[in-house]
Amino acid sequence: MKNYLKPTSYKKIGDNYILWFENSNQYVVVSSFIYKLVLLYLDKSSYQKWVESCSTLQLEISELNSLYQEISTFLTQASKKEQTSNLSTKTDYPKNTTSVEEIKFYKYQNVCFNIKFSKSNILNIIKNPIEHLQNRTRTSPESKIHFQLICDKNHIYFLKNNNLISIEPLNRIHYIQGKVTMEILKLTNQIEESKFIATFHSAAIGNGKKGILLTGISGSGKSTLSALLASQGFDILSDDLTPMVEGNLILSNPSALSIKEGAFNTIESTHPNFRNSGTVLNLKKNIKVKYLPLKKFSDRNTPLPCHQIIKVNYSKKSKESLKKINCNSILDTLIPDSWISPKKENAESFLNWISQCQFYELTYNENQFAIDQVKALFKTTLS
Amino acid sequence: MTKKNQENQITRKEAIKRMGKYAALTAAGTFLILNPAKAQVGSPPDPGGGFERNGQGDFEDMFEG
Repeated sequence: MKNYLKPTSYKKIGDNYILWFENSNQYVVVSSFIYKLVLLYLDKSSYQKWVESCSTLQLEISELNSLYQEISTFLTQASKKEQTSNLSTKTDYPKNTTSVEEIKFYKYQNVCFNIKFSKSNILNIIKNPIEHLQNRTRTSPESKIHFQLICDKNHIYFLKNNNLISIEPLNRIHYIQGKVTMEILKLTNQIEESKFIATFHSAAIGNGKKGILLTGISGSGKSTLSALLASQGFDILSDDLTPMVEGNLILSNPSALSIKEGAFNTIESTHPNFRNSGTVLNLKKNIKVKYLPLKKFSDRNTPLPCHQIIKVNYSKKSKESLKKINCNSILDTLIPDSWISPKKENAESFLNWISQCQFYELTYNENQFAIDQVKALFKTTLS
Repeated sequence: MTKKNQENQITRKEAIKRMGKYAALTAAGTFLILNPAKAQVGSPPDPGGGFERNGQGDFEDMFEG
């Protein structure tokens, strides 16, 4: 028995199995057929014994040989300890920045904090989505947590109470944005990072009792659909980073929805104030992004269960449908785009959760169709 | 034999076929290997894509004042 190559945990999802290897923090989806061959590989002490045990599978010897090599290579690689990245070995940050700084004061869930920004247009990516959290009636002693974002020519530095907590190259500002969001969530929910199961790269909507995750590539219509559902009384829990905490409950993330220019008219029809409010991030090449702040934060603080994931696909040409799909079609983007805690109990919690989820694909071109389909899903209960 | 029973006896080729487009992810499409992000991450801010591919020198030029 090759115990040292065994996956740390596994779960069955539909016709597939999802395996998790603690050393590499890798998730691997295999068909039931391949999973059976992997188990035999782990159980048999030699190639010959493995081939004998596979005799009922009607595979040619050349195929068996190739499969054996693949399984062997894969398991060896997946069981290797993850190499720690030496990308961010810098521990120092520029203390005397010449750029003009500004301090903004924020309040969310009755917790006050401030962020000092060095002057840089790039930081608008972080500043704009949380602009609505600004505490304009602040009294200065309230903030005990001081964050700082500093840019130099090549890097962005993120500090908390003068301690450096993250450095990224400029073109990885979305990692700093993720870190800022995480720090705000930890602070305002009073939850330590070890209790977070994951932060999914997805939107989430809720009805006060449960949530549904919306995934899809950029431009797939997630944010637009979220805004449309909000106009129908649903809560927008998050726009593009959905936190999950222990108990497999999702939290709301207060960052504003980012709406791309193509959807401005649609959103203005359901959110009349959108025309005159919101901040605009101008990317060159005439690409505009406007932010729609979420409302009723205080009503949306209850963590919610969530067992449905919809892959959203806005397409003018395709036939509209909502159909159940194989987990692979969602996991192949959800896992690589999301942070999943590498702690064993958290990873196992994620596996338990994902194995109980239902996966759907929504293709739409008429807004009403999408709204009706999601409304109907909210009414379903898991079998 | 029922159709269901036949489906239980799938060959490797069928298994690969069922994996569909993910077959391209490994040499013979046997495994769908997924590595989660190493840190919390939001969306890349370039709606047109290609954000990660831009060199650092181009990066600041993407934004207007």
